[in-house]
Amino acid sequence: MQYKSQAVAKPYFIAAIGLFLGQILFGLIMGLQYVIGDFLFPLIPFNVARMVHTNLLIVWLLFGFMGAAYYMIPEESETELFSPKLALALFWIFLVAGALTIVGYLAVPYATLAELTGNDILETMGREFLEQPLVTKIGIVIVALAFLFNITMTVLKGRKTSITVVLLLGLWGLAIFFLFSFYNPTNLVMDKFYWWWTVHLWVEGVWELILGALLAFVLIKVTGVDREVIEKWLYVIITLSLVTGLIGTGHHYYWIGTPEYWQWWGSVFSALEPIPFFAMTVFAFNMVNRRRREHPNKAATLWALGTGVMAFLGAGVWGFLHTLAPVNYYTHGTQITAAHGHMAFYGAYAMVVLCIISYAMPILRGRAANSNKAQVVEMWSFWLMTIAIVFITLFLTAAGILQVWLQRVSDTPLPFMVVQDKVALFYWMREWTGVVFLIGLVLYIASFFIKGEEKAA
Amino acid sequence: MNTAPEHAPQETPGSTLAIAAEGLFLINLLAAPGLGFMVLAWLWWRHRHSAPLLARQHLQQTFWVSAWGGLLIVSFSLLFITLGGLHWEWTWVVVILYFTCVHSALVVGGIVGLAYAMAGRPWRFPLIGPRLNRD
Repeated sequence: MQYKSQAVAKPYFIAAIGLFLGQILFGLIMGLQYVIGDFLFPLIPFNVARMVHTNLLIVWLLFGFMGAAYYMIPEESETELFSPKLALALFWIFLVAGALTIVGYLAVPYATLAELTGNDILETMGREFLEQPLVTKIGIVIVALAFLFNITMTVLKGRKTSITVVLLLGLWGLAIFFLFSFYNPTNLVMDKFYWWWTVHLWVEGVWELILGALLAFVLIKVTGVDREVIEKWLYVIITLSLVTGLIGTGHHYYWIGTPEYWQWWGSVFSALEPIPFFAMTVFAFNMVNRRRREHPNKAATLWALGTGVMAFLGAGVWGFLHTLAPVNYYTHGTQITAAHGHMAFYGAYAMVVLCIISYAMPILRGRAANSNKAQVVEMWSFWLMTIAIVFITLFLTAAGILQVWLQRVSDTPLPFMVVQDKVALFYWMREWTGVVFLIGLVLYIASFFIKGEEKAA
Repeated sequence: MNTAPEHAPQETPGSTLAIAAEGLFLINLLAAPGLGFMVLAWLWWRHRHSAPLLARQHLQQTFWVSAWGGLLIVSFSLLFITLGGLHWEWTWVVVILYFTCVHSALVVGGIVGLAYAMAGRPWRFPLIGPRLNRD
């Protein structure tokens, strides 16, 4: 580790992985509730399990992004972090607030939680992914602003690189677009319209900048390719991301009551959204092929390559599959959406965070890379999780196609719950594949504890 | 940290043609099916004996994988539709999954091939790629 203050990234990474484990456990609980409806009822109702599953996803990725920023920014800026103490204080505030929110979801009925946390003062709760109580939302804003202050000050006093600029742009965008979670107009169309400004403009907008910056940083480190080459690719990728992703928001506006022209804008621009992921995959493989050094951390390189491929498949191909308005007319909100969501989130964001953790954690622990034995276990975890998510996606896609046919295309459409029974076989297969994913994650965690001959830093 | 020799894609003879071959392979899959293949076939026919080794390797791979891949996609999709009929839900489950998986696998193979061509290195497509020319 080149700068002492980079060490603050470590607790963030540990918390991220812990919360990721929680997300997967709740995913398995919910997956079982799809086929055994009263499993753990009334202790953990389906809606609560779902909320915990998706909220943990967001929170662990945020921990991962923050940890990555605290690790990367000092090294890129060639200076110590502006305030390591602030970074550590924010870590505990965010962790405790996040944990209390999850406890709140699990311990108190959601309506009571809303009453207890001042939702009547400013109604922001009850919307998918933004279910957090008002106090938690305010806490997120305070933590995000203090975090941005800390890293921006660090960048301002040190070297400015394309990676830090893109990363800052992504992180500031993340904070700014979260502010739309406080805007909840009574008009349902307006509500959904601006709700996507947080949800879509995060994952198909500013988060892609963070993804690009993280990937570029790891590739510079593990390949030794000139920074100039990698930075040019980064600019191309983020331009493509923003050009396609911003107006691509329109693919959420087809059926919510907005004007009809969104069907054209949304279809055309979101059909182009696979292009940045395509470029990202070419970029990752190209850099690794042109490498000027053999970095001892092979596992991190594997994660970097995997990020490109899986992001392209999950976000690009599976997104395109149902993004054109005439197709989406039938597929909207079916299991095909769930299939896309699972592979896209894993490929684009989970993998890039696992990648930076894989690269940085050994260095934070005083070595360039983990032992060969540990890396072999980590590579097993890569393949188990990746193959599992591919099959989860395929099973959900199969369930989705059946659902579309039986519920929407058929001349004699069946009711929702009847169709759910008919696709239960795929839910079972998804559940067992989820168990394989969990085993993969446990191996990932275990790989950090496996001893052996470590590569010196 | 060991140092490996840097690959110099610009200096490898035939790398431009190799990149064009992989590009056309991807265009055929993603943007202009049929048209991309025809241009690729013409390039392969014209340069199959005369181009530098790297270009011949990439032309050979992309031409034959396009041909076999296209055949795989079309023939099995038609077979499934013929066997199941258009009015059976399972036909659509199988055809859509089959098409998406094979098509995506070919695209990812093409992306990797393009990256190899840009780095001035040969690339053999897994499973259906012909054996690489070595001379």
